[in-house]
Amino acid sequence: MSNYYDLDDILADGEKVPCRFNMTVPGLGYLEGNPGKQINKDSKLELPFWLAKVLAVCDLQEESGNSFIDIASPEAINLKVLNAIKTSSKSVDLHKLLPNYYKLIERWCSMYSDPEITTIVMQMLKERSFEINNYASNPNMGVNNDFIYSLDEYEKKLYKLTTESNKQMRSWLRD
Amino acid sequence: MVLPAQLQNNLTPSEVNFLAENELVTILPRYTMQKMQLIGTKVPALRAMRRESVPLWVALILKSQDKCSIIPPKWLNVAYLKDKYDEEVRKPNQFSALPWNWLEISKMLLARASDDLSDPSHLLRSVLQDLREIRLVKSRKGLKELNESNIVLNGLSLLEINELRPFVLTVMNKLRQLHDTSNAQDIADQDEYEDGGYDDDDDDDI
Amino acid sequence: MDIDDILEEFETTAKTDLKKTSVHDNLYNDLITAMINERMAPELLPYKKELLDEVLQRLSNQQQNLLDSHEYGEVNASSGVVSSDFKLQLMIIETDIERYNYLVRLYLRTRLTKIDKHAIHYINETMESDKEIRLSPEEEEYINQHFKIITKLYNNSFLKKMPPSLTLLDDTAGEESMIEHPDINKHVFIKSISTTPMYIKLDDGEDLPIEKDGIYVVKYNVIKKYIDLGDIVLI
Repeated sequence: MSNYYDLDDILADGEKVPCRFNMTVPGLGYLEGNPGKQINKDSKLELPFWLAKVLAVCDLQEESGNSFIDIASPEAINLKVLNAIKTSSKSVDLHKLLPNYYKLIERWCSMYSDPEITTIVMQMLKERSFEINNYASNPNMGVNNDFIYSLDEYEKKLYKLTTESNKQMRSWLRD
Repeated sequence: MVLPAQLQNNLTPSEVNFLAENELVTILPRYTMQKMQLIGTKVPALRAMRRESVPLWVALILKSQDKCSIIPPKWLNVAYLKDKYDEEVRKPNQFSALPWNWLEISKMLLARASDDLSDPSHLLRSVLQDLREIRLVKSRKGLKELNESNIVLNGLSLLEINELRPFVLTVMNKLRQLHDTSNAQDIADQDEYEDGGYDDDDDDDI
Repeated sequence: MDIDDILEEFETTAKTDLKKTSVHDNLYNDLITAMINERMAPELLPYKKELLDEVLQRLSNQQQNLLDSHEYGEVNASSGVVSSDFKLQLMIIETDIERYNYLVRLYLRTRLTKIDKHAIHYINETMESDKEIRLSPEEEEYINQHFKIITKLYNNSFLKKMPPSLTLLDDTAGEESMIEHPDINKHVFIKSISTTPMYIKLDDGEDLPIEKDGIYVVKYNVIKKYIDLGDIVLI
């Protein structure tokens, strides 16, 4: 479920995905840096998810089964990344892949319903969140750690919330 | 007038403490006081050396004026708590039964009525600390079991739950959202059928 | 009037209050439960009118008693009649009042938070006659007035400069609805207070056994009705 006014939702919608045009469109050349020109059939370029989503589901002609564009899997979910996640979820730099990684996965999977990706990402979240809790609960574990820098926006929020809660508890116990 | 964000869907430790202040405790009055009708409860007439039970916050006010001593709850002594600690060690997969607000009550009594306790404060503090730590380790280990549907947390006290809450809810909600992407249609159908929900999930299955 | 009369008065007014309604034999616990349920539930719960009416009535009686006593205390302070015991009792009564005040405020402010957050959703709901009533009359007035003021502010600041088709605040056409609904599938912590063991039907059709005093994290949606029934409290 997404919220109209949620800034993170809006940012996640702005993430770009690789697309291929299924038809030649006049005047759209500016999308690939050729203002005033047409965009050719089979051109490949990256479009923000919110735009790609609409174009990918609109049929060229009624019942043709062909849409304006096809979306290719973004790098964030290609086989190499998924394998890396499966082998060692804690060493993947999610933030570098996509700052709103989990949100994009949600978008992607609700569009293409991909239980395999969902399962892999859920497993990753279980493993990484456990580690996040370790860091958040243990003030002695260095903040300057690679793992902390690799957190996506959702994970950062989780880390912050957990740290905050532990801190509150510690200070209550002390005074 | 809305609640600050950090108070929404969560309690602060001091709020949990506030709730515990209403627990009834037994006091031994040192003076006579007429009974008093409070808004939702009654403070019985007090007579010197006759035990009465009153809310903890009342007991603490009387205590601060030296008008009573507080009889510590039966679990607040070193022997009992040591037992519980041993039980925690013996049964690594469950929590020993401690009162719903053991951390708050023991903290308040240690701070404000330590002379009424049956054991020296430092010994009590140390066994309480041991208990807290062993339970904390256990509950953190239990967080491996988080999933998108439900978990059981029997045996934890309110304050211990409250400490885990932001983490547990944030993770479980995210797991749920991820999980629902693969069967958004099922869920939308079910909601309609049970008339339990708003049809937000419709947005998801484009 | 002397001290005993004053204290007697606390006694009698409070007693008559108690007689009127025996529904809430533990007013404080009921108020706590209402406050925490409201705090933890993702949606606005029905306003606890009966409970709040009673709490507010007793609060104001007690406040009046307190004022009278203070007056008595001041008048007699110089003559030395007022004992420190009298002051101690007043202090307890005052603390009691403050504790209730605090809980009532928390309860109402928690509700305001949700009302603000999902204003359009609840305004629409008040217009559907078949839905149960969640809002108190005061809250209903608040939600409507507040929304009116916000709309006016938006209009004056920027909406009037936009094309009419883009000035809606409750547009649900297209794939993204502008109305934010509470997410009733959110997880919540629950405790069973039912004396008999029970089962909760989960989304996937399975039954989750619930023990007395058991603590669980489940989706709000699946336990919603047990909160009304009083078998389950949120914690």
